[in-house]
Amino acid sequence: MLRALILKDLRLLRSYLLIGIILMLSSYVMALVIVWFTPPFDNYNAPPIARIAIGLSGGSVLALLLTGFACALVSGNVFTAERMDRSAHFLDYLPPTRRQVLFSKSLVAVGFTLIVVLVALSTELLAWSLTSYAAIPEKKLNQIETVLNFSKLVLCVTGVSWAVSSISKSNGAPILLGLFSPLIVLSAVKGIDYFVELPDSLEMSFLRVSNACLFVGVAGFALGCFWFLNQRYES
Amino acid sequence: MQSVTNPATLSKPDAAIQVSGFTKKYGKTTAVDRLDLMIPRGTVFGLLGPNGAGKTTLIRAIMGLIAPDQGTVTVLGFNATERLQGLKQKIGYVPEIHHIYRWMRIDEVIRFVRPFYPSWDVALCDVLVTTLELPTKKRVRELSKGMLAKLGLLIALSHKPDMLILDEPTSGLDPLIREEFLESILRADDAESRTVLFSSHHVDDVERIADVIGMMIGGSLVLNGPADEIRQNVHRIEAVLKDGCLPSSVPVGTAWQRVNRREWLITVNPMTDGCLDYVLQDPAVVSAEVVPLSLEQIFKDLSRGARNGQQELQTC
Repeated sequence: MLRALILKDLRLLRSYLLIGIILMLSSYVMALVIVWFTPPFDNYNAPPIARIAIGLSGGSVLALLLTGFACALVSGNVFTAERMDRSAHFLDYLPPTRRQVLFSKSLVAVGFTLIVVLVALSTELLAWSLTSYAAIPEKKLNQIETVLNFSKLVLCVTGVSWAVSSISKSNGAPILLGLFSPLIVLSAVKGIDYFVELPDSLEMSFLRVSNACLFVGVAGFALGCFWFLNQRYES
Repeated sequence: MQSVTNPATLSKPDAAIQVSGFTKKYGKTTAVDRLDLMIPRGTVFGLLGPNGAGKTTLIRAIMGLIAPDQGTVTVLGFNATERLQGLKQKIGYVPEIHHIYRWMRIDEVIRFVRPFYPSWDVALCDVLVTTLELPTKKRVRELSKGMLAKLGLLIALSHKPDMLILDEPTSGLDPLIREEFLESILRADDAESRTVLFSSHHVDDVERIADVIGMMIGGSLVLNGPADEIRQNVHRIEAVLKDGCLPSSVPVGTAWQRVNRREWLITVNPMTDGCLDYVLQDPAVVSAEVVPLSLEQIFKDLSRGARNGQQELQTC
């Protein structure tokens, strides 16, 4: 039963998932091309493996930024796509329970975001391990923290889109609110920083914002699940 | 209007559907008002009613798709509002409007739905695909209304449900497709003695397939019984009035009446021996006779009576 639901959700969100995969791949390609042919990187006169390491490292951050858009599309459509064409009514009278439907949807939407994050982290780790071959200081490539912080922003986008999608009947609001959620969180954190006069360094500030984003993302996901399970009837 | 007693002599375990005091309101509008209904197992129950009578609301409550404001709905011994998976697996449902995934092909729809029903009969499904002449490679969005209704019926029948619920399935179909559709239901029901709840505002469709007919008007069940019993209970009195006179009162059980010049028509439910005498005693009446009615006429008169009854009674 779950298999059928997962396959259906994959098929339903196929185009957005494809956009995500294309954006992710093109991020790495773009980063590698830039590193290969742009003079500042060329000046290092580094061996090809080092350039690949730099390309992969830059690519993982870029991939997270670009694929965040696809994550908003996937999560923003996960509930609303079926509400917009009213096929949710069809699913409503079939035997699968709300929990099974929710499990399938979370597997596809959150699973996609987690895969994006895992790919970015793995490529960053790969890049970091390749630095031993590079003729550049290792510190320059150690962007794991940056990738982790950006991953939290992507999780925020996913969580907020998911939550709004569980309530909404169309996909516009979930996608837009999801995409703007890191900016909203940033403004909120900066506002709090200003009022409580926290000592500010760029790194600490970004960490605070990304942690807040992670919290908002997880809370959004939980809220979306709660709403979907308790909203008993498709109207 | 007066309701004919349910077949309430049956004990509760024999009930496939048991509805008690079901009330559902949408804002200030009461869609169904304190409705009691019992459908015995193995019965083909036809639910008749004009648009807005509350048929779909009742069916959606039976399917567990809406919660009652008051009362209980029990289906095959389970509380319908709990929307249990096991219960849904025992019911085949054909809605009035189909919202099947438009991007799926028919064979994809079948593959998608099949795992949800442990009792899915692949051979029966194949037979139905052939009999209903469904083009399996066509996408749902390319199907005509009739084809879509047939696909809905195929999904509902292929898992050999204990109960089949059809909510105005022939609505909007042309007569030929309607005929084919009804024949498919009859053929499927011949083999197994399942409970069927069939709602429609086409009287002839309901009369053709139903053992027991229920008539809903204004959110209430005004008639409930076999077609013959309904025909025996509801009659029309056709009276001739004296020139320039109006009748002073109507007999008990008058569901609808109309005065047109010297002609006075009264539909009475239930028709008792005293009704004709009552009419004949009216000083304005010259003569009167009792005329049997077809199910369609009964349906129309009761519907009109519910809609305009008060007003017409006042003018008379």
